[in-house]
Amino acid sequence: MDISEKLQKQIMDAARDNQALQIIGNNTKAFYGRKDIDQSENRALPLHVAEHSGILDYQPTELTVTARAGTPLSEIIGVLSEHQQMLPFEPPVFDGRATLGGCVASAMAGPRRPWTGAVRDYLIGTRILTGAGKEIRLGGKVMKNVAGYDLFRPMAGALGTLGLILDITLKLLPLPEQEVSYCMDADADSMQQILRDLRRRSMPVSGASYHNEQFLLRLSGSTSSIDDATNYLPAEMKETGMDYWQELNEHRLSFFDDNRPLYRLVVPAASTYETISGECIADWGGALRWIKTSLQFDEVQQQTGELGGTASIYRNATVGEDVFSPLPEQLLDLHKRIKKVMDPAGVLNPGRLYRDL
Amino acid sequence: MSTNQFLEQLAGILPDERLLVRQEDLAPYECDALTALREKPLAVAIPETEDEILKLLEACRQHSIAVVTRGAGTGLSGGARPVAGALLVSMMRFNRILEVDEENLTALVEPGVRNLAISEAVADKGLYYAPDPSSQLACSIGGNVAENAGGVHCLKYGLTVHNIVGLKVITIDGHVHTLGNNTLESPGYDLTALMNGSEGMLAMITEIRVRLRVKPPIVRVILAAFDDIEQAGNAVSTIIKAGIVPAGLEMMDGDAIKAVEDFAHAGYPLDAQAILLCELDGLEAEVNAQIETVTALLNEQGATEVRTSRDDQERMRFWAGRKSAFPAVGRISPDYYVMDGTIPRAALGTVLKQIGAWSKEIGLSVANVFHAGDGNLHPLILYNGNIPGEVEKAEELGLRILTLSVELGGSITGEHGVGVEKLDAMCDQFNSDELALFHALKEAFDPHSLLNPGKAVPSLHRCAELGAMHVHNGKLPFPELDRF
Repeated sequence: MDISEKLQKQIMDAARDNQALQIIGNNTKAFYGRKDIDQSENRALPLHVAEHSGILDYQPTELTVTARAGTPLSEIIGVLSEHQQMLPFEPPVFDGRATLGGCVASAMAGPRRPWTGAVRDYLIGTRILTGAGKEIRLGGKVMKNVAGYDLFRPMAGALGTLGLILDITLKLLPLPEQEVSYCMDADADSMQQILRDLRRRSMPVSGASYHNEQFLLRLSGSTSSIDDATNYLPAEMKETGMDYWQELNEHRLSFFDDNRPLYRLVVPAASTYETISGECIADWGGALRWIKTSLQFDEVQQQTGELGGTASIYRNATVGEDVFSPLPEQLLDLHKRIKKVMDPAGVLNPGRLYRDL
Repeated sequence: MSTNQFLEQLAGILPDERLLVRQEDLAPYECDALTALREKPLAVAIPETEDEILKLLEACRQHSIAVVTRGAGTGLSGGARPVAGALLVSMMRFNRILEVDEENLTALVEPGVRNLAISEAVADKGLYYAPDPSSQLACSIGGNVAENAGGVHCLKYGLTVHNIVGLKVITIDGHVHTLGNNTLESPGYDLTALMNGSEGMLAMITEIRVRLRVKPPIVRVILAAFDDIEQAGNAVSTIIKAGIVPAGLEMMDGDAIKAVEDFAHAGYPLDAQAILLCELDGLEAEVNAQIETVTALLNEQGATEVRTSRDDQERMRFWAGRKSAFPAVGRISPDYYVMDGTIPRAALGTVLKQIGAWSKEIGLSVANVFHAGDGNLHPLILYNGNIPGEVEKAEELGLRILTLSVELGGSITGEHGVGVEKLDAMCDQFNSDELALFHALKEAFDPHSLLNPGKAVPSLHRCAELGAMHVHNGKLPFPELDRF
């Protein structure tokens, strides 16, 4: 259903009244982002997008799909798989309820991300409503398009602060012919060594995780390439079930069942695990670390910075607390000026990304 | 304050040999590879350090002088063409590769480094930088980022934006910003992506962290000939539908084949109406399996001949023809006008027919080369600039093709950029709200419009004036604006 006119009116009214809006799809990511004090006191009005749903255009031979923001990812993934295609960035679907709009706004990508790319890499266009309620088309439906500024890409990860996404066009990839999962006992260094070796040989790695002194590896590709890769795996590497990758991506592993703050670190893949004390699951071949620790966020940030990465609080942050790595002052100023262009009255998800955005 | 005072200030920043002011010294900088549009800058500065750039920008701010940044000057849309009275800043002394990070597969380079020089510098490690615009021997990586350059391998490896992980930029206010980092994500808005293709209008780039890739073990190319161009177009869709993502998928029509064969002796079949080049890379067994599949599909689609490269030498020869298409056409026609529209792949046949019909109607030949895999067309409109009226005819035909591309859901430019060349066509692709938003974004970065002013995004008045010429379905574009 197309409810863009209703959404437009709600935004225009809000802009006129300086009334903050909280964008909500199926509300699967309410835990994510900064919890503004205003919102906890219910001063922000909900802007419900879930009804704005439906696949608008899917051309398997174009390797593109266009769908409204409220469309559940599971619906899109289902339709794509009928044609042996997939969303390349493997987003979590959170019990099948997560929407395409939320997926793009949060830029969440799964275990495949280091090998296939991020959400922004597959965005080729979007239609949005600015904070002034103007309907704007950014990018298009073709994968090569350099006319105008690439404003559609920053929509990925902006948490709705730059505009309300109405519909999205994505580039797709064919589903791999075959996928196999393996595991072995290993220390983190041997995992890196094996991954380096597989990379040097162009082997089709699509997942690499480290958890409880176990190295889990996923290969995806043609049958012949997986056969080939198997020859280069250590003898201790044993085939295991595929479920792990979904459990990891959807945060259903028991590790994630915890009320403490869950820190999300993005670091150079081969960084040491020694620096930050606490429990850890590594994904993305070591480049993404989920950490539970007794350290405070500023200590985590500082130590992550020493590794050359950045940290955020993914879940269980306190209200009003900053959850993303702070930006240098002048860069934050630039962010504020961009926000002002896209949302002059500052009504779209204010404070969700940073306090003053 | 006068121009002389400004130049005196510059003389205090840069030594004589890196500050060009004499008319004869300025001449080489009056255009980029879009040679039809020329303008001399006020002066050319060739800085070597970030500090010099900061001082140059300070002088420009104080005197309200516009700044045009230039890399190797190989751009095809006039992005680096000087603006009258502007200071042209050449980045070619920023030519060092600062770091190669083998572990994280990135390299930190300065913007004046040539595209191909990056791949050459990491070749001994079995790595390379993927985007390969035809000008890669000469073009600079800074210009590649500014224009979001493409090449023949975009279908599998993306445009420049997909291969850049971080940037150091200087905004006109003299602030140095580090965007992105050496990991897979960085906090805040994705301004690294926004900088790609921003045509030097938002900030100046001083460092670029590029993504490197491991060279695939095997690369092979299939050459298929067709005696009908629509069949060749259909074959492209069939390959994609079969779940194969070729590294490159290129197409040329009969006129382009003849011009190229004469020039590069690539061994293309001269009687063909179209040829497809399909490059497959990866592991040996996988590539061989894909070659079998693609060969069968091509035969089913009516290919009159299918050849596969036996070794790298033969592969390079197959490519040599395609890569020399522009100079080859330059030899058979006094002038040519390159278009760069993108269309959904499925519309390929329709568009080719229409271009053929318009070519007859207007009386100019068109040689077509395409990045068929991603729907990016490069019709080369042949004309003779010495014959009165032919330039205008070529522009008319070009604009029709771009308008058609937009109508079919495509874009006016797939990889060459808007620059000054496609400002009018921008009015077709974007409405006034969208253009106004682009101008506001520019203002957020550059409130006094000093960085490459007047490029990439047309003024609303320009579109309104032009609007009289393009009336679609009786609807006047930009009805809210006054007409002049």
